[in-house]
Amino acid sequence: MLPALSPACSPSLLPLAPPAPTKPADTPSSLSPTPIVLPYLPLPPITYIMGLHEKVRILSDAGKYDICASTSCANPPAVRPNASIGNVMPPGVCHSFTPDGRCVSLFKVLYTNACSMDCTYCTNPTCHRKESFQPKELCDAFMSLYMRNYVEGMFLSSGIARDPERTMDDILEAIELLRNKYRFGGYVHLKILPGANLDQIKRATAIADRVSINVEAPSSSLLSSIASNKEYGNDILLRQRWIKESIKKGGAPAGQTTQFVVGAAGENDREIIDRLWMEYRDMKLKRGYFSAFNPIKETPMEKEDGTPLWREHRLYQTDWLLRVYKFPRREVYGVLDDDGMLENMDPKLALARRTFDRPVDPNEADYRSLLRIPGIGPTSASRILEHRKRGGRIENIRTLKSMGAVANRARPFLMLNGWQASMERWWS
Amino acid sequence: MFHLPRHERCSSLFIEKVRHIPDSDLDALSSPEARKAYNMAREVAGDSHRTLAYIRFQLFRERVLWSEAKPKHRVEDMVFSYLRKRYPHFGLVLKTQRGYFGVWPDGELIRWPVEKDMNDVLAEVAAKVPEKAVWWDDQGEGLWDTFYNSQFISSRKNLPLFYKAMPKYYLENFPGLGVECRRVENGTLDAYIEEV
Repeated sequence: MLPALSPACSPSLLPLAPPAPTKPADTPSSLSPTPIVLPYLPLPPITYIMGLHEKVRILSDAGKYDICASTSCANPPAVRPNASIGNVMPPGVCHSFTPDGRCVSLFKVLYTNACSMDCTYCTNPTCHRKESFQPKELCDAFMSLYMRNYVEGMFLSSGIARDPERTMDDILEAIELLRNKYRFGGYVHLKILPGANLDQIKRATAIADRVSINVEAPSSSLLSSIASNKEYGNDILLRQRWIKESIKKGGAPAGQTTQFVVGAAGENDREIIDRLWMEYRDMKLKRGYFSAFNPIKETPMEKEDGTPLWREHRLYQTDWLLRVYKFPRREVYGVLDDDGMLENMDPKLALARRTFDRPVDPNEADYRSLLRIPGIGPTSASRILEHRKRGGRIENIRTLKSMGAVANRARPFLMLNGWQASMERWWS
Repeated sequence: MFHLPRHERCSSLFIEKVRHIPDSDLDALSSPEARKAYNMAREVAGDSHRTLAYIRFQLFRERVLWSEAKPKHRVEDMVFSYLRKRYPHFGLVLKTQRGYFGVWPDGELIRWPVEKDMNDVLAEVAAKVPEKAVWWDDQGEGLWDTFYNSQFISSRKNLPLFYKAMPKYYLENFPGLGVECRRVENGTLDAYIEEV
């Protein structure tokens, strides 16, 4: 029996009126006993379809290196005025995954791949085939995917075709069309172009759920080595401050994010961690994304070595320690080697190996110490404290496991009932 | 623990047992039963979330979105509560192993027996939707193939991660995931030619 369904769900209460005879052309093919064609809609001219599909192929291929795929929004806007389709789900939804394991939740495209910048890692400046959407084309393509539940929202970025303000206006026009004429009330992530003006940023934060501008590199000198016509302080940091102010006034409920191209400018991990920490502190960044540099054919950096994916993964883990666990930055420095690089090892485990000189008794440790044990996160640490507060004791590893701790990772650092797992064996 | 009765393998005996677990144990998950109940509730929530994510709709008379899928647990009404907010002007029909579930604007969720003909169900729901819900230039389903295939970065290929995110159960029981299956099993013709 299904719980909590209304009485109308009972088969005995099915409508009595016989259904109107269905036209053969309306029957769905996969469930019907006889195969039937589904020409419901008058198809647009074939040239238009081919043109739009080709544009989508080129402009989404160019946009795939932007990593952000999150659609979560802790405080989604109440139903947007005039919205007739689409909503924002607070935890976000991943509708598909590519064979590289990355989530496909957003219709992630560039508005145009024409670009006057000279970023040496990027394919847009050297790409021979330039394409641009018209606002209506973009909205039609997106709505066709959203209606079928393929995507959760729109992610719109762009190359900078000559004038950044003009390109930003084109992007805003497209999203305003989507919001106002197509009455879409779901998730939109809008990229702010370096050089966008204050008024445009206010418009963007008013209509988008999340906005972002990519820092790409951790400092001005490093950025200029890979993108000579981007000015770090003015084009990026100033715009981030404007975004922060706009968000403070109620715009973009999912906040702002940024992205680093890891390894393109020859930076070390300490520089990235420092910049990220400043972004969290000064720009109230929601989170940072890392994209391991991957040399692309026909770009000036095509012969350079790519960044190993494990480095990107370790940076995400370190970011987790800063952002979610709230570890002080100085403590996180403890996992860096002399060159300021992370080892290919879980940074929390590396920190624990440096921190603990004796096993920890979970019946006595405070929250701070519990959080530093590998396999114990904020939720399980809170559960342990709650259990102790009510007079309970952790007698064995099974109790800890039932509280959500990852027993195998935690075991070497724990002392339960006076018994101590052999840390030496762990180290060897 | 609200989700427990929806779990396919949860007996009424276990639900009764869970009712007697003290709240403190349930909050801290400090007993194996509490943990088991928590895991079952999470499985249901996860199944509901994945069903919502992986169903793919087809359009009927520009009024009704319909799909078929086999969620592991009894989550149909949870899924519909989200879908109604997302597509308020459409009629919605989902066929699962437990029957047809359908709803239209301002209507209650209705269930039809699985033996009923899909065409009848769709016609019935379409008749309840007063006006066309699609008014833009629909680009059809093929656009998803184009978009999805453009998103793969071959240098990052990681099939174990893919299968962790999209377990085989869903690939096999959600017919709308054909593009993903083809991409993973066979790759594209372009990729094949490039490799050769």
